Amino acid sequence: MKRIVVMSGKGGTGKTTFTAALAAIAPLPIVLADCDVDAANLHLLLRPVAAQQQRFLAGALPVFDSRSCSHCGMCASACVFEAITLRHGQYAVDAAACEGCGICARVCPDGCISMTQRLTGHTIEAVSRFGQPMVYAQLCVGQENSGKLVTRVRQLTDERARSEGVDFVLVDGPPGLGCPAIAAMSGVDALLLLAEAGAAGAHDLARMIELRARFGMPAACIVNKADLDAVSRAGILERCEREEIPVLAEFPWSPLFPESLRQGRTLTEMPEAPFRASLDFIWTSLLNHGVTS
Amino acid sequence: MIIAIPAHAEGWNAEVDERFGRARGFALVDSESGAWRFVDNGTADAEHGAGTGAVRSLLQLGVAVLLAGRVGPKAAEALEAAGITCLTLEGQGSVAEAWNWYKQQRTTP
Repeated sequence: MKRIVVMSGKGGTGKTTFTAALAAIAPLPIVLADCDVDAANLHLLLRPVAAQQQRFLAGALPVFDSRSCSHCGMCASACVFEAITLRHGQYAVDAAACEGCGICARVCPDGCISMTQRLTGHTIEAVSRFGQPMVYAQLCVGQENSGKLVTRVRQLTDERARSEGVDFVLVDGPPGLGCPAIAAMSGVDALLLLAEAGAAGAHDLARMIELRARFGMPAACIVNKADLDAVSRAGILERCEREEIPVLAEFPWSPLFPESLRQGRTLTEMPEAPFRASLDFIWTSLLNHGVTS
Repeated sequence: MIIAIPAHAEGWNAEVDERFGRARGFALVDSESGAWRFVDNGTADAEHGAGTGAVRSLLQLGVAVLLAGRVGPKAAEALEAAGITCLTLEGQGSVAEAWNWYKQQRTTP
């Protein structure tokens, strides 16, 4: 099974736009994953059906056994987040304020606080409107993406690919270089890097390339909004050449991008299917030119 | 000396897990006696810090050498601090293959 993940470092470079466009014209059966769980929006373009949800538990939240509570108040005074208050004569936690550190359970002399996992979101298995199985997740308000959740989404995606006999997995990766990004990259066959021709895009691409060097998988690059800043673009091209990362395509800034998003369509579904040749070439490269080897 | 190999499952022919911090578990081989066992990786499901957590476990298990595919930056730093040598596997599919590769590395100067 081949797994390709779309990564960028910087957010807003077009990971989801291009993942959706590539999905729309995929020349082979694929399974899709959206690992950008903080801002999962691949489903807005791919409008999946037959969604099945699973609860995702993580983190920690105190649970009070009020029968043994002596109302000493040590839990409330130890909590630096001021998440524990006395309500109707019982100590209770404000889940939104609680960071799950567990100090309350540690200081409680009555042993009436236990830490339990909390519902942080749902993983969702569905089928894209192009008929491809896809896995994504939605977080509860105030919760954040984690390496654990990305790993779970990838695990469900792999299981789905195996059970459907599909050999190719395309992952919309999270931005940044932290825990979720590393969980999305580890053990994949190749990275499709989405660079944006601007100071932040070039800077974050360079950091992503350094991270990739540690993992050693092949990578290819797409330069988006390539006409925004000539200096940054030149820097990106030069860096990619030095690292032997092929640049598969460059896309200019175009009002077609925000307009396609506004309409909830992929690029290739816009009138005259803009950039279709470049997108086809990206697929050909992913499948034929060693990027997936 | 104990050698650790990230693996998807228990068994000499189990697939090597390309991930380190979130590997299912580790095959531990004693290079003197050849004895081996499998331990679950307690940090595979950690929300954050899986890599550094796995290094801590290996340290507690007395591991001297890690044969791994991909190790992230923080895990690499922790391995170095812990004095655990990390050798990069290149496509060895099974635990047995990884182990044989390591033995070859040791014997050929």
